[in-house]
Amino acid sequence: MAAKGKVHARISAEPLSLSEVAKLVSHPAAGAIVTFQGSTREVDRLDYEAYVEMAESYMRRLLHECLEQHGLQALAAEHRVGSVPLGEASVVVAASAAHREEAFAGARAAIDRIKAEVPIWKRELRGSDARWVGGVLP
Amino acid sequence: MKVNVRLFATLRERAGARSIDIELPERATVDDALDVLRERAELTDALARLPVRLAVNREYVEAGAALHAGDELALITPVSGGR
Repeated sequence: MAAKGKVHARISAEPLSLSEVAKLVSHPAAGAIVTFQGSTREVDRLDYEAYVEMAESYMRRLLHECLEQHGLQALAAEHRVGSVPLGEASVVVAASAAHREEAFAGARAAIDRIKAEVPIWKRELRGSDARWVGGVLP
Repeated sequence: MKVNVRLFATLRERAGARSIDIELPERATVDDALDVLRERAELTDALARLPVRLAVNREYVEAGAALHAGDELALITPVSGGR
């Protein structure tokens, strides 16, 4: 059960679990839990590289801001690093709130900001071809 | 003074190293550090092609930010993004 205002951020080389992050934000005062999973698609695999020492602390601060802005009960996110095979989760987010409106908005803000601001890079591998995917400059 | 530079993704591959130490004059800024790095042959092309955001001691900084001996400067190229 998540204390009011709880935030959880983690960078992990292990497979991620949506149900585990959902558990981290559940609370009797939360009438809504929204979860998001980003998965590897249309490539053999993705390799994620993170500036781990900065990424985890930055992600925690970003989640605190989303929690405050959207009046969430709790917010949790985990990003995988290393090799992520086709179909597996590269990122998971769970937001809880009294009502679904805040939970949806908070989860959306969290994933959008994680992808745009946290120092994590991805390399697509298709057969013998590998390339770093240029996304957005934080 | 010595500053430690962290490199990731394309820049790490080009440099063949996750981190390099560079020597800078006292009172150098992050822009001075970037100029020094652009002159390293293995990074010249990549730094001409890729935009970078800079972080000092694990916090994003703006152009002109001061550096101090022993700082950790990270070159952050565009991150994973997507929509």
